[in-house]
Amino acid sequence: MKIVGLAIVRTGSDLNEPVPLTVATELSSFGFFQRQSVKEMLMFLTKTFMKRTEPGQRQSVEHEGYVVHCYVRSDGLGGTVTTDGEYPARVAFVMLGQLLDEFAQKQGDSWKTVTTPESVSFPPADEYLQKYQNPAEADKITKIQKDLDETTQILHKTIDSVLERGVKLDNLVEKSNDLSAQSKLFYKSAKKTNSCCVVS
Amino acid sequence: MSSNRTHEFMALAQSLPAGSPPPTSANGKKGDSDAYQELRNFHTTAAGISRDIAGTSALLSELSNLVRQGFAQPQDQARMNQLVMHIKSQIEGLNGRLDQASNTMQKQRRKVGQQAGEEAANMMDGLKSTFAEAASDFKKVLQERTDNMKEETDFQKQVYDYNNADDDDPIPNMSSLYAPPVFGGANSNGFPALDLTSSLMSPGDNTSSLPRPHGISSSYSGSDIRQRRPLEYNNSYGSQNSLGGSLYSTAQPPLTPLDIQRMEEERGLQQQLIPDQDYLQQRADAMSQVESNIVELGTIFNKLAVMVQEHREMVQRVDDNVQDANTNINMSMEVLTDTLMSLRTNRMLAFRVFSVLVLFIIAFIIFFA
Repeated sequence: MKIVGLAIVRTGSDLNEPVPLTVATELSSFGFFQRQSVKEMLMFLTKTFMKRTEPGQRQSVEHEGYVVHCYVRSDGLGGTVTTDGEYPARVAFVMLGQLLDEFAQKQGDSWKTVTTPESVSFPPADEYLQKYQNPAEADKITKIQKDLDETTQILHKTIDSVLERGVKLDNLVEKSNDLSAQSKLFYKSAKKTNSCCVVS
Repeated sequence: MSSNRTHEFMALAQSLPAGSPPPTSANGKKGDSDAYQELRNFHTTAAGISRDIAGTSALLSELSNLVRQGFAQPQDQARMNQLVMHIKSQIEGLNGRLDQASNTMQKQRRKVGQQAGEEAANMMDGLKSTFAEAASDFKKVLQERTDNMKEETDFQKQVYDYNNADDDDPIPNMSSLYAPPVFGGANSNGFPALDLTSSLMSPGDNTSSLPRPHGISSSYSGSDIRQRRPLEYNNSYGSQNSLGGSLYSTAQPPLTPLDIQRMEEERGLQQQLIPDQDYLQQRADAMSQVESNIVELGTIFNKLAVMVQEHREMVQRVDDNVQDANTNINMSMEVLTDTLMSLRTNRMLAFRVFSVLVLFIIAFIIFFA
């Protein structure tokens, strides 16, 4: 489950092609000479899909084993995340949402006039990319789910041990029953020995 | 040792939620029969689920009959809507229960042994396949229904366009007579409402429902459809009228354009939102899964508490027994010390008796001598 690339893109009716503002990639799984072409393909896919995505819409498109999740906000700022097939789409969109919010906050309105690709430097994009490589850590819902699963497992073990405890307690009950019966018999025989016959 | 603990059991049974397996009995069966107990519960749940699936299928068959009738009366429409809602909620409930049951089954499987586990797994699979069938049938029926409605709207549109194009045909007079009741009196002339309808039709319907300005109609395609529709109507309503006449039989569904408008809006919105719906659906699913997990955890805690509560009883019994044993042993220790003392002092008694006897003999000898 990994993210391959991340791009923040500006769309708008004044542009015939969406302009990527910031791009971050994690291409270590590809061979050194492939990286450039992979990156170019990523950019191409980003631009194509962003062009087809309406503002306020999210889409996930699969292409050659990789899934591109696109999201365009209502004000024209959009982003794409390219991941492999296993990565949960929901986490990708959460990440996009957060990233775009932070971007808009930091850059204010300056991004609205940029036309040169990859001109805005936004280091948190790289951080986000790294952080979300493991969705279980970064996405709260996934984390909660994982914790819940662990807790459920632990509780199942607890119930098993409590059942065992019940069994052992049951044994104890039986044994203490026997003990008390035996002591009663002992008392009776002692009394018998004492009272009736005289020991000569 | 064994007191009447019925009232405790009744109190416990009442405090338990209805669906959880009953706690181990006071005599304390081993862990195995606990698992068998839960297996029995699983079977009862599975039986309940299959009954509900059967009920849903019955409703579904009723709905499909209604849909297949074609153009339906308003009360049928209302009934259909009601059925659709009902079936949907049932299907969702069944889905949840099936998941739960299969989870329980997975957990129990390892405890109850090979054969019972396999049987349970097969039963789950059977249930799931029936459920999947029912869900797909439901989808088909819904599809058919939307198709029917689309046909109706196309048809109505054709009717009124036809009405627009031919002025000297006697039929339009009939149509103007019939139009007001059909539109439910919302408009004096039917056309404005019709316009709304046509403009809301999704761009995918390009057969006959392209928005057309008044007065322009492709009469050729209109006549084709006109000739087709009356035949359909003849079939379903058995009214033998001329070309367009059957259209205006009273069997015309009073599906007001307001309804059509609403339906088209819904469909259009759905198509717009469908890209987003996946994401939202996923979020909703994740949240509901988290919620169900938490609920499950809650029930597990409850069971745990119940079990520990039982154990409290058992511990008390152990305590009582041991206390009894202690008392008994103390008493027997007393008795034995008494015995011992008496054993010791018996000789003293004998000695005393003997000495008294000796004294008597001495006294006797002195008396005689």
